[in-house]
Amino acid sequence: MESILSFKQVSKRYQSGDFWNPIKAQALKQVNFDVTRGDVFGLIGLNGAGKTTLMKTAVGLLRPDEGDVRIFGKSPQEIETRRRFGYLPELPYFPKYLSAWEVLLFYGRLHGITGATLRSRCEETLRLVGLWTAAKEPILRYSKGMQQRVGLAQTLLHQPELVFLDEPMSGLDPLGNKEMRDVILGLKAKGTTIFFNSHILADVERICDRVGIMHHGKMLKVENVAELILGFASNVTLGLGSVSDTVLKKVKAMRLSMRKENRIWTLDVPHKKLSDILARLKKAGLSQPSVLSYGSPLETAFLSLTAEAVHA
Amino acid sequence: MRETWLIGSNVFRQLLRNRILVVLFLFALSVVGVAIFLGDLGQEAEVRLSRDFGLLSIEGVGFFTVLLCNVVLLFEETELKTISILFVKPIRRWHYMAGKVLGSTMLLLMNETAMVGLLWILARWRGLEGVIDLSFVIAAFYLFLSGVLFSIVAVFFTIYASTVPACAVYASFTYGLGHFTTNLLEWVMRMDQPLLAKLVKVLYYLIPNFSLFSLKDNLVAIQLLLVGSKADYYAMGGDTTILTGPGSSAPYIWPLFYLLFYGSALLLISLWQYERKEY
Repeated sequence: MESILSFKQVSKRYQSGDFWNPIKAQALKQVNFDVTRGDVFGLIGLNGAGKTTLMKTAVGLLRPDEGDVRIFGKSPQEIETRRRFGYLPELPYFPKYLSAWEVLLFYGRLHGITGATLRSRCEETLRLVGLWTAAKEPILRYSKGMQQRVGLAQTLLHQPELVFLDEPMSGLDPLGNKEMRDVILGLKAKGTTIFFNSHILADVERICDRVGIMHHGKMLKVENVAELILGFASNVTLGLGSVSDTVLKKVKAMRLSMRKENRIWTLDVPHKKLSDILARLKKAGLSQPSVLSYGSPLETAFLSLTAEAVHA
Repeated sequence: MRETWLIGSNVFRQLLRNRILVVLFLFALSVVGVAIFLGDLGQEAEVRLSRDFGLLSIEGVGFFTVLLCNVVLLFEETELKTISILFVKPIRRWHYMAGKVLGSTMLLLMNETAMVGLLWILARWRGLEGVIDLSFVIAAFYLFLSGVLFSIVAVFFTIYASTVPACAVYASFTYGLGHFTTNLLEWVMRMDQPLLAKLVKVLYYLIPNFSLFSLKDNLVAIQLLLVGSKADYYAMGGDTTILTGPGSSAPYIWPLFYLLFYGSALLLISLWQYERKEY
C-alpha cells in the first residue's frame, strides 16, 4: 500500500519561560509511523500527549526539530502538497461578519477554484455538512457546532485526498456528533484518507481502521483497531478503594496494569484472568475491590497501554 | 499576486463589515458638529480651521483604522486559529502579509477619500470657498501614505508583541515618536554632545519618520511650490530639512522614496520573522 503520510524519527521541543532561564518541553519524541492511502487513522492520547503538536507538524504549521515529515512523498510546506490535503483545527474560528458562503468562496478561490464550479462546490459542501439553509447568514449568529461545520466544509471544499481532523466532534451535540461521524464514514467510503484525533474513543473505535496511541510525546503503539481491541476485548476495571500502603505495595508487586484516578487506584484486568487476580488480591489483603467499568475494548486498550507507559 | 489580491480583498470586505462604517459615521458627525460650531467665526478663519480640523480628523481616523485593522484583527486571527486554516492553504506567508497590508491600505484609501468628499460637501453646503483645493488633497494623500507606513509598522509589531494592548502601545508610541525625530535631531545637533548626537542619529534612521508625511502645517508653502518657486517656500518658513533631504528637492517626492525603501525594508524583516514563526 502507498504511504501518503510518513513520520520518520520526528522530535519537537517547545521553549517557554524567560530568555535567561528557558524551559524546554519535549512535545514529540522520535515519532515513527506511516498512514497508507485509504486509511482512517485515529490518534488518541491523554491531554498534553502531543496529539495536536503531531497534527500541526504533519500539516506544516510546526517544523520538526529532528526527523522528517512527508505527505505524498513531499514536504507539507510545498504549495503542491497543500493543494492535496485539508485541515480542520480544533474549534475553528471564522470572521464573524462574513457568512459561511463567503468564507467558502474565499477558501475555494485560494485553491484556484472559480466560477460556476466554485459555486456548485460550495453548495454541495454546505449541504453535506448540513449548513445550506444558514449559508448566507453571518457567522456571528452561528452556534459552536455550526462553526465546527463551517470548519469541516472548508476542509472538504477542494476535495482533498487526505484530510486532517483535530477533534472534529468537539462542540457538537449528540446529533451533530452522529452527523459528523456519518460525513467521515462517507469520506471513508469514497476512499479519502482520514487522519484524526479525538477524545471520544467510541468514535475512534467505530470509524478508524488503524489507531495510534500517544503518551508524553511518544507513539506507544500503532495498530489495526481490530487487532488492538482483540486482546482487551473483555477487560474489567477494578477500583481498589482506600488501601493501606502495605497492601498497595503488595498489589504493585503483582505488576498489573495500575493507575491512579481521582485519588483511587484502579486495575485493568483481562476478563479471563479475573478470578485468578481476585484471588491474588485477596491474598494481598484486598478482599472486595469494586468493579468500576467493563469499558469499551479500545478504551481498555488505551488505558492499559498508557498506564504501562506511566509505570515503565 | 492573485493570492495577495484575494487575501487583500477579503480583509477589506471583513473590515468594511466590521468597524469602518461606524468610524466614518462618527467622523461625519464630528465634522458636522465642528462646522456648526464654527458658524460664528469669520469666513477666512472658518476656512482655515475647517482645513486644519479636516486634516487632523483624517490623520486621527487613519491612525485608528490602521490600529484596528492590523493590530486587533491580526491578533484575533492568530489567537483564534483562523491563521492556521489559512497557512495550510496553497499560499505563501508573504501573500498573507502583503494581503493584510493591501486590505488595510484599500480601506484607508476609501476611508480618507470619503472624508475628503464629506468635507467638500459640507463646505459647499456652508458656502465656504477654498476649503478643498489641490493643496488639501495633496496633504490628505500624504497622510494616507503615512497611514500605509503605519500599517507596515503595526504588522511588524504584531510579530513581537504578545498581547493586543502591548502591540497597540508599541505601535502608537512609535507613531508618536516618529513625528518628533526630525525635531529631536535638530535640537541635539545644536548641542555640543557628539555622542548623544550620534545616538539620536541612529534613532532617527531606525524609527519611522512620520513627520515627513505631515504636510498640513505647510499647506501654504505647498501652494506656493505648486505655482511659485522654492524661494517662496523658504520665505514662508517651510521645513528646509525636507527640501534638502536626499533624493529630491520637493517635499512631496522624498516621502515617496522614504515609504518605498523604509516600508519595503520593514516589510522584508517582518516577512523573514513571519516565515520563522510557528502557529
